Amino acid sequence: MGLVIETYSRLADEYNDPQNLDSCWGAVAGYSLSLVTIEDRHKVVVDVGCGVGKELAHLASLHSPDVQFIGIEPATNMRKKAIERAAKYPNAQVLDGRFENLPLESESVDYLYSILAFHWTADPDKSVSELKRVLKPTGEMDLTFIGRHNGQEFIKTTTPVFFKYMTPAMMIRAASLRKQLTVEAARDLFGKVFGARGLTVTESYHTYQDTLERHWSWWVRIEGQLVDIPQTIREECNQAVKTAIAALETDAGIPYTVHLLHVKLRSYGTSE
Amino acid sequence: MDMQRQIARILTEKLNLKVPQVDTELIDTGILDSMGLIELLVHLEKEFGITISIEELEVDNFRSIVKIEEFVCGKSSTSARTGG
Repeated sequence: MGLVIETYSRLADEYNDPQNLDSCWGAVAGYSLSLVTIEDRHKVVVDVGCGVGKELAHLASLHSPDVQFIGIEPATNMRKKAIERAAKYPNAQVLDGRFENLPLESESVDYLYSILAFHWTADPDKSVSELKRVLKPTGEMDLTFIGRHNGQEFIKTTTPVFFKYMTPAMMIRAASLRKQLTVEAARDLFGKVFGARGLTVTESYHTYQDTLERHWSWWVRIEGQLVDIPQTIREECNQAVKTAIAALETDAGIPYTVHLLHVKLRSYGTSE
Repeated sequence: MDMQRQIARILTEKLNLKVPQVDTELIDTGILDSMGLIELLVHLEKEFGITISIEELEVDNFRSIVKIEEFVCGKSSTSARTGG
């Protein structure tokens, strides 16, 4: 199991914590969910990286039982929670899998969505090929994931701190866990597999102001886990990072800007 | 094109960074982040024909365009000596 999947598996219990749902990530997940467009013609709907299954269960509750919902989640503890949640809906199931290896038949999916997960893929090219393989030729898709310019306020202020505690090799290994693409790179990546017809890749920026404590609670839980620092200096580094983030405070709060990419695939001639 | 201008061009055109001077501090100012460092290494390897092992990197090698130039020159002369 990779470090990212392991970390998320460990965090399963805290994921629905109100503090997490109310954070900037809860808000971006809500915005992403609003982009999900399930039409009457969609009979097989897939959520890749469904986490604890919140969105999957919500959508299954809104649609008729003849629409089959399949959640896919690689982190064991997250998946267990998603399975429990989906159990209420006879038309929903949750499977073990990941973008790079989807446990689905070829050309079997009418609509596929994913909320804030694609940036964790270990192999973007293989993942896009898998998406193409499982979607029907008329299949449609909405993926949202963070882009290259995500969290610039925090990055600018914390990078010099990390360089004091980590070697460039450690920094590079931590940064390599995530594939943060520019909108142009995402267009190339998806365009070379899906072609231009019906495909749009757009970017948006969402700035959230929050208190130090509330930003810190998600930061240390997720980002902090991925930073490979010896235990002996971890506390000192955390404190220095916290001080750097605190210095961003204005009257409105501490800003964090999410750079969100949206890959939208529509079957030609069926909508918009 | 001299090496400093070539490095400046990578930083501005490929990485979209604003670097006013060859001695502008890149790390302490937060201009170069860890993803930027990865992108920079890829371009340095490609443009200067050098091979960089991440384990050998020192943060001081990337503090400015001048420092990056010294690093690339050191790599080039090592490559020439070892024939690789």
